[in-house]
Amino acid sequence: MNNRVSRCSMFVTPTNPRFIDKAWTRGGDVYILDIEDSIAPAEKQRCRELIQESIEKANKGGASIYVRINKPFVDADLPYAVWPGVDRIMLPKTQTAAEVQHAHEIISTLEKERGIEPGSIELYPMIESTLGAVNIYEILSALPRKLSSMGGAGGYDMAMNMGIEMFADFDQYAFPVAHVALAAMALDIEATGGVFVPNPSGRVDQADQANRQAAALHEAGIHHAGALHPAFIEPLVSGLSPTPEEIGWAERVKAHFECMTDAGESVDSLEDKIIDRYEYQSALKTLAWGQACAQKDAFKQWAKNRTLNAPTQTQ
Amino acid sequence: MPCRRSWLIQSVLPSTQHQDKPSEKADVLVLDLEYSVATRLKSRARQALREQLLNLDAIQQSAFVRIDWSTRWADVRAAMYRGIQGLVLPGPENPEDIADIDTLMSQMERERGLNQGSTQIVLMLESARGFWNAQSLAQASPRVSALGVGRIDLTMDLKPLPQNEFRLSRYLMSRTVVAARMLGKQPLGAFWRPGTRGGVANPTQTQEAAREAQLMGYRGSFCVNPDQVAAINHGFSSE
Repeated sequence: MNNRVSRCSMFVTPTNPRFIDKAWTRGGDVYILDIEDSIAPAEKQRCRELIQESIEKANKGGASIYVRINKPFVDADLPYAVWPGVDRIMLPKTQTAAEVQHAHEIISTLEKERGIEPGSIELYPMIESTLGAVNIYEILSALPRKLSSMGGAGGYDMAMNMGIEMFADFDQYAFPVAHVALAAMALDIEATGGVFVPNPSGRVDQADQANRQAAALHEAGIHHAGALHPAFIEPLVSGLSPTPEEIGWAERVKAHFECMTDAGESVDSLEDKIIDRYEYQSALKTLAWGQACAQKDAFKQWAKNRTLNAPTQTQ
Repeated sequence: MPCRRSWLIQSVLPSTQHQDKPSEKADVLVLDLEYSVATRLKSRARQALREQLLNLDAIQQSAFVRIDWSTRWADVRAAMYRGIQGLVLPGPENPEDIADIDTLMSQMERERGLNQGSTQIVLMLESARGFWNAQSLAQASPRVSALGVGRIDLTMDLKPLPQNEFRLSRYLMSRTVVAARMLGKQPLGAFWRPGTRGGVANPTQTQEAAREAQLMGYRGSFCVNPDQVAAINHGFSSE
């Protein structure tokens, strides 16, 4: 359950001790160990060799660990990326079902060799081009392995591919983002999703932008977001959790609906709002999400305390 | 093709709510066996259908029946009587299901002396799988006359965006109108805005939602409250 909660997943560069050694203190739900765009070509091999020890470093505060590999070096990267403790492999710039199939086969072999439960590592095809967006349904239905989807297809690479301005004040990604999200939803694949929040400044390190983004995602019912800067972690982790008021309302809706169903009613009202099966389903989702967040927070606290109380040499 | 802008959904059974007569006649009355009928009252509702359809036929009110997907076989049998113009199928996902319903409808038409192939199907899309398959669903039976967008904010739990619209709603409306127009089906739907959730839109909100949908290519919408009928008729008028 704990690795289902990724209110904030932050990229860290394993080659930079300043980032990787401190990451666990920042409170993120997920750290993404990057071998891709944040690592210069000459550093790739050194980075690969640091992944296994970086897992231990980054999850000391109870975070889940993802690894982002390079599209041109799938065969070279995966043997350095698939280890116990890795929850998900991110496959950037995915364009075809054959690409996810190829990665799946390598991961399956490595799982077997390294004593990892077969199929337990999720694969996350990142859709960053028009071809990937068009092929999304085939990509997401290609495998027996558990998949996640970004449920969106924005970002820098998509902007380059589409020839659009990335930092605009309107939603220039509307079609590919919605198209990818719908395919994921149609296949019952968890889509992390995204919401357009105008950011013409182009900056990615400002806390007020983080708060705006968190509020918009929360309002839109989206539970996951990525971050490039630690200033985004706290606003996203707290901002994407349900509020006590939302939990309270969901509990009242649940109780009310169950009573009225027992009495044979399908529609009723509570506090001036219509209560029906839709409100009930929505309430159940809120309660489940609230419980998952609480469990994740408790686990992070426990892991952090354990690390702080451990003898110095293991920190 | 008759003018079918407003599709007023009403429970087959007398209800304590929404008993006002619309100030304007709905272009289509949709007798509902689904959402507005509690499970324990379904069989009573089915029994009441035949007579209601006859009554509506007598006053020349165009009538459709919305069935409950989970009890579709019993519902289709209960609905296929003189006076029915078509079925509204909520939440379809697989084209094979539509073909099966078509077969049952043909059988009922034969048994009950209705004109062969005359009873239409309106698809009311309500789920991600349904929207993904919109085109093949619409092609699954020649009876399909309209492709509708249900209250997706509720059925798909789509929450508001900062742009004051429901997440994915613009794309889903656009995707559906493309499929409908390409296949020559009537596109049905209104561009509902956040703020009407948990309640039913008032006439002003309804007219705006209808107007915006008209501009997107839609030519009619479902509604639940009688006072929405005039708003929908006006919203979908050409001037």
